[in-house]
Amino acid sequence: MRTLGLRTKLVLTYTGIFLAFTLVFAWYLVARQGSIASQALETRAVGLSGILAKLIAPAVDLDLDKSQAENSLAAIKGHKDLIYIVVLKSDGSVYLRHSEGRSPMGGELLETSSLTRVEQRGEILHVLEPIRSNGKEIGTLAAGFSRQSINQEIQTSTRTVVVFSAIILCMGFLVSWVFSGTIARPMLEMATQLTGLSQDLAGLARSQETASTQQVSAIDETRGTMEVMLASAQQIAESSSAVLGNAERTVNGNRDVAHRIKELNNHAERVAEILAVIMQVADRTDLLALNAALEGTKAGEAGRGFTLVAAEMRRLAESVMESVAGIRRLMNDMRSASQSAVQAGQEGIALSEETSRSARDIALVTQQQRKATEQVGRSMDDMAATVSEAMASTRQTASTAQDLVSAALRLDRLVSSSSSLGTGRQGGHRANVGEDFQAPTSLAE
Amino acid sequence: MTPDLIASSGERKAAIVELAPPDGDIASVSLMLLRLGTRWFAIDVHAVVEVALKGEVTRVPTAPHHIMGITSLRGRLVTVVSMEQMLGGEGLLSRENPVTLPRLVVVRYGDYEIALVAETIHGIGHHAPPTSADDSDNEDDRGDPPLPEFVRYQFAWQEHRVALLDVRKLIVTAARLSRIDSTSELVEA
Repeated sequence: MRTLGLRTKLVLTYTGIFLAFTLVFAWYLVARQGSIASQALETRAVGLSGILAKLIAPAVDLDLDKSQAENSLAAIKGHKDLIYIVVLKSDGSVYLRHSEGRSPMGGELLETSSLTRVEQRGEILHVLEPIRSNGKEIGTLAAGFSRQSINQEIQTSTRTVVVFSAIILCMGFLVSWVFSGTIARPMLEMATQLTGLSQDLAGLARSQETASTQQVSAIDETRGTMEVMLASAQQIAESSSAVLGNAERTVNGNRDVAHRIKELNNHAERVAEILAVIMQVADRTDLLALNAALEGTKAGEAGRGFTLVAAEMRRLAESVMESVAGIRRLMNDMRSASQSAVQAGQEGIALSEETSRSARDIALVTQQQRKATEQVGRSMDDMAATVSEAMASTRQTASTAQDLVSAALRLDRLVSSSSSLGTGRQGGHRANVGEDFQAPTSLAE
Repeated sequence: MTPDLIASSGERKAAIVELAPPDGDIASVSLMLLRLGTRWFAIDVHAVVEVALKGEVTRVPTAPHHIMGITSLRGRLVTVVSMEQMLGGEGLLSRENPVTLPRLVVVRYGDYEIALVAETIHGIGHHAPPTSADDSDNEDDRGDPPLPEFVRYQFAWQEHRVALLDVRKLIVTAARLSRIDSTSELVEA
């Protein structure tokens, strides 16, 4: 069942009001005019009957001839509403009967009455007027008046009222049409705008949900990447721990080597001291042999053998000193080599310590990276929860937009009128609304 | 120092002789060879009292530069003379690395005794002094600088030029450079 438009309803309402007002006005006017006409007829009939009763009273009292009596009635003959006149005597006999040729519908009211009495029977107004002569009631005048003229007048008035009512109704219809147009058009525009806004809102909700879905996907990917980074950081931390352990062992080994080289140097120093003693002994031996050779030479031929022995002792001492000098050179070379080894060991220790520091730094950085990655993961979880809440809100928004679209559609249908406003635009608008109406439904699902 | 010594030293010429082993036919002298820097010297062993280690040398105030100081050798004080300063001053002799420690060669002439610093003492050898003909045979060395007066002559030994020291003149020269007149008997002798 098709629902009527707001404008149609407004037009029908205003037209109905106008119609009711017109009907009431017409009924009241016709009824009022009929009443006034009836009252006027009654007054006129009573007055006329009274006049006739007074005019005919002498003839009845004197019991004159009917022709004389009818002369008394000549003044009212030909009255348009008069139907009959009957003069009754006090005994109820008919003294005079006058008819205008129109047979009274429903008969005549022939009753004697001491009071003026008016009685409506059918289309005839019956009037009973007592005839008095000298204060004495001598008869009753019964007259019948037709209401046809009144009815014709009422009919004429009714036609006039109907015509005027129709005109007023048409004017009211036009006025209500225009007035409803001034009300319905802004409402229709507002409904259209509301529908458009609802459509936009539904589109935005769809876009937002799409974006939220993409954000969820991105968050999932980021979370996966963070997990991979976390695993890598863990592996790097383990590797750096292994490197740190190796570097510390290398440092300890280098320190052990340096310590042993230092001990070797100490031994070499002791050997050097011993060599110095040997050198000193050999030097003194050389000196003694030299002095012995000197004394032997001074002794001449007798000291020749002593000189030779001293010369041999000198050679031995010099050989010892040369050997000691060679040992010293070797010791110096060994000392230089050990110093180089110590220096290399110290450099190795420095490098190992640097490696240890670097490994610690790497471990620290990796730990910080792992914490940061975990923090990022937690942030991703929070963000995912937020996005989920946003998606729920978006779905709620989509549902609200759906309801709003439905309400806008209903409002549009309520306001729109196919007979007055552009149906093509409204039809297309309804089609769009129908399309948009499906989108939030899918989103809500 | 007497003027004749100075005059005779100015006329001396460098002479190269060989340090040869003792030969019964040729009269030879026993010399002690010692090295000071890159220069070699020879001293007659009869003038050498002893060879000692160079111990602590006490510097004597206001002493000339060639007097390094005095040292104690078994209870007696001996003047230590620097041959380097007597030859021409410090820095004249380039240092070499000796095998042994520095020595003090104590020489004596008469009652005078001084100690010479030697870096290395090669030993004792025999040397035949050159004859006058040998001197005439070395006229080609006239281009060399004049020898100090306390050097008798120079001779070749194992590609070294060895200066034979005259102990008496050495002591006199050292005393003269120190303005000591107590050695006048040595000069007269």
